[in-house]
Amino acid sequence: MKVSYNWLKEYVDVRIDPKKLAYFLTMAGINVTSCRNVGGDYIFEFEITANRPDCLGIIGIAREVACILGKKLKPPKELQKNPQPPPTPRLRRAGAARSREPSLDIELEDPELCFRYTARIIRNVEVRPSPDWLKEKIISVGLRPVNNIVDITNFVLFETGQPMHAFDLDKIKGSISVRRGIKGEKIITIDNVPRTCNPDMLVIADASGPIAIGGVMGGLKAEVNNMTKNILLESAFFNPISIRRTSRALGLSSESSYRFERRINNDMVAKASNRGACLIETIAEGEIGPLIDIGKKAIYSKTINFDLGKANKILGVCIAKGEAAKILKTLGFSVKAQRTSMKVTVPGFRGDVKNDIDLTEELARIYGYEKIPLTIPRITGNIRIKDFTSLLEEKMSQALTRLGLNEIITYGLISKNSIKGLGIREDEIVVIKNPLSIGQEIMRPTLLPGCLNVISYNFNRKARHLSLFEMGKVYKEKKNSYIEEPVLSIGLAGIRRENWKNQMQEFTFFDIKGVFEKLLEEIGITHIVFKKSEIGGFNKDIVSTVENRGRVIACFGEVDKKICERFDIEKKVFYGELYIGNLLERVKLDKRYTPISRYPSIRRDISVILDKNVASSEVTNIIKEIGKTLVKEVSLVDYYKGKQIPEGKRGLLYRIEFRSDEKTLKDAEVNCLHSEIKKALSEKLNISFR
Amino acid sequence: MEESVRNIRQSFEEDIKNATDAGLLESIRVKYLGRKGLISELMGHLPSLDKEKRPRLGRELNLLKRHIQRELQRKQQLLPSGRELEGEKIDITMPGILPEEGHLHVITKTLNEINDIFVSLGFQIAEGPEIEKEFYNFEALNIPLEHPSRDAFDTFYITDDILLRSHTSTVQIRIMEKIKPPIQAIMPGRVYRPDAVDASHSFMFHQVEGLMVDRGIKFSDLKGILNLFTKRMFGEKTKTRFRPSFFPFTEPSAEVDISCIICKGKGCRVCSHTGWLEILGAGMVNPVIFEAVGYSPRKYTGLAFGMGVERIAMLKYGIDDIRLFFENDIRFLKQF
Repeated sequence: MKVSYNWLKEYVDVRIDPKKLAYFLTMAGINVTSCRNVGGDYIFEFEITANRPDCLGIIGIAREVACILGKKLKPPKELQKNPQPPPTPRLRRAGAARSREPSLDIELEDPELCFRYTARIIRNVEVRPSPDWLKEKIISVGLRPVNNIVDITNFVLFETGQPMHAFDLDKIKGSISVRRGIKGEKIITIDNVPRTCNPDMLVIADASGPIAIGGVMGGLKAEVNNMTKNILLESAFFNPISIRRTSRALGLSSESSYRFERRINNDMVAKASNRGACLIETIAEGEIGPLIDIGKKAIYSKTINFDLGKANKILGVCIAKGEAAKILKTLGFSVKAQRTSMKVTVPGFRGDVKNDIDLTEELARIYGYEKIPLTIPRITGNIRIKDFTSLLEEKMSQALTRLGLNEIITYGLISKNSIKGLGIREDEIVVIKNPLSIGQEIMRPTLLPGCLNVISYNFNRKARHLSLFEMGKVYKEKKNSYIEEPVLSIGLAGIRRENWKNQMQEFTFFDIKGVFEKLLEEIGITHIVFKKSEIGGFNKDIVSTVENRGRVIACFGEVDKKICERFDIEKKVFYGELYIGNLLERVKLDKRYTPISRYPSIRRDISVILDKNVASSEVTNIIKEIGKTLVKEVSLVDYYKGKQIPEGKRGLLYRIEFRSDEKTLKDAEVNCLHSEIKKALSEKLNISFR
Repeated sequence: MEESVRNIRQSFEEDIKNATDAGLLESIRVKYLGRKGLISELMGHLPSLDKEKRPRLGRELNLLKRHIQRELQRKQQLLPSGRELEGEKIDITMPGILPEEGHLHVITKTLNEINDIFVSLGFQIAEGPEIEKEFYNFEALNIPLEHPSRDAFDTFYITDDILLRSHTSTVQIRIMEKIKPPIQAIMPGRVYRPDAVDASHSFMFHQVEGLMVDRGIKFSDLKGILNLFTKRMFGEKTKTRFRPSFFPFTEPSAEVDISCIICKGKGCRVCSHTGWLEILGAGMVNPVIFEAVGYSPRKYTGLAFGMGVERIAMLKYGIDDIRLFFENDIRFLKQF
């Protein structure tokens, strides 16, 4: 809300530097976002929190200023006392004239949506441009002057926070009813937009239909213009929830609806009407009629037993009783000091204050948050600092960055199209009801689209080498319950290393396999089996699952070319997911020292030629089986294809490390074992040696 | 003939003395031991000699040959080898080959920093679901249905009463429902709001929520803890200011600003010329919340706070566009 400094000065005697005032207000919770010098004035821009509708009027701000600076608030006299319609001499004359005019009946049909409705007939107004002082004020709050009547209603709204509306009385047909809209009923609002009403909305209607959407916007039909002679001035208290619903349903927010939504002060309804009427009388020479006032007149009021000792304890300060009482009084509360506590009565305009903690805040914000000391509480002493999943995720992230992978973070919401062809069950997908774009239709059931988007994004920007991982959740719906599972994804694409010595070597399946092997070793998952299997989204020949004691804990492979194409990626992408939830209880993060053997090891190479359909793992399994505890390690050191190798075969070179934990092995023993291994290999796998 | 052997020996001694590099050494080898070298030449003459002289001269020649071989070898070892000489000639200005290093995402890094600070102050880390019941996101936090205080929390819905949490304050309620005070926890996590994406808005971001409930927790404790946090996060010289504000679930409530880390409080574009940057929302837990979870508001008080991780990372690392976090440009990722 915009507030002019000059206007503010009319209600409180303030002379300080406006920038300083802005600071004081901000530090009291009335946040000033800017303070600009405009001509001979300063314009403050306020950001008023939802709990303070009283500060949506300049008098409310003036009250805060008065309290902060220790000044007195000077509201205009019409607003000070509850008005009995002022029988001005002119009004008495108008009253005489009124008997000849048709009277206006108003019926409040729906007291649920409209708590109170007041209206007043003002006759013989002169509609014309406002005087300069009024125009300036209207401009200062950011509005455009229209005519004296409309400007006065806006003036009162910004002064008091109570919205007003003026109808052209002569355009109203028959009596007025304040009722719910009828389905399909039409109204053109003063912004010239046709709108359709429904029974959730409150309308002000005459015999011909709605003439205003109550509390939101008036209709064109009964709008005040230069030809208007007689007006009906409305001031009401509409149901905040109903206003909010209507405003949302119509996508129409106005200065009025903004204030009604936040609940206006019932005490101001009649007072503001009186203020408006008096201004119209002065400026537009109207003749004021009596106030028609229907509905609830009760004003919010609450008496709170306020325990200052408790408030001081919660704040960690020591505010004296006298000071506390003074602060509350200048804010408009009435305070009665008792022996141990204070009896505080809340004024009508502070409907947000309901209990002692609310009063504590009032006290604290005026006393000054700055004056509250800094203390450190006693630590409660928790033992378990992190849950196991976070700990594991942290460990894995560390391991992966050591292996040269870069962490990415992608959105939890993705498009439905991006999971096409991945073999994901339709009924398990979590769908968003109100996405802003097609990129946010569903919650991701896999991290693959996110990873592919990142790869595509980077390739498009000339990146050549991408090794990425993401630690995130995937989301599924199962039997009406929602599951969030932690998953690790790994993506490798492009060339393996980028420097002048190692060029153009692209990532292969074995690079991603290596990452998984290393990672699983790091978290103590042993006994893993790689199994070829068909998984949606992968090249069916280059994909593997990882099993650990009968449970699938991961899968990885080359992403299907067609999927890559959909993400505009031409290069091969190797991708894998580790299902963290499936291995939690099998993880071993504790490391134990293994004694380093005191005995030397002996290495023997074994060069085999095997059929293409014999798996390397079969060879190593046999070597380990025969070698028992003496074979410490079997590693593949070379791989041959080509002329020397017969068609349909391949050549592999393994290096075996023999060692005993009890003694130094003799050459002869190793030779013997080595031949046994060879024999077993040739017998069981039909392997020949080179 | 003996004469020739002597001459060869002499000239070799002379040559080997002057051999200063591998090239010369090689030419000496060729001259004496080569296929057409001096030694083989003399050897070639042997058959034409007298039978008595032949063995003696042959022996002498062999001795000389062995001597030359030994000397050449000895000298070879003294000289830097050819391979080593070649090695000396690398262009040391060619760039070094960097080891492959990976990087944590800057959000993870920032989260770790935040977590570490609070863990050192005795806070434990807890988490809650992202797909949440509407109740936990709103009503339980004293944000009534159709109230303007909901305006700050536009929300993605899955069904009528299931949504994506729009703040991590949901986890406060979940913790309090589960355990009795004392509580001292932080709750990091992702949140979602249907905001159009631009340089300062994202429909997904990260928050860290903090909660401490015990007997005698005070507003001054909130100030003390957060003051410590901002100093550790942004540097010892950072000033912290608490401004009254409004959150339905805390009372009194505060916005916490830090002195602008770009201009040090003088006023610049980043802080909109105020000298202050808003980084946290905080307050004392509203007793209404305690009642709802079955804690006695007479016995316990609590402090709570919440912060946006992206915002903190942007300020700390001078990042000016929130989209950078989720585009994952490798040139961005590798900077942290």
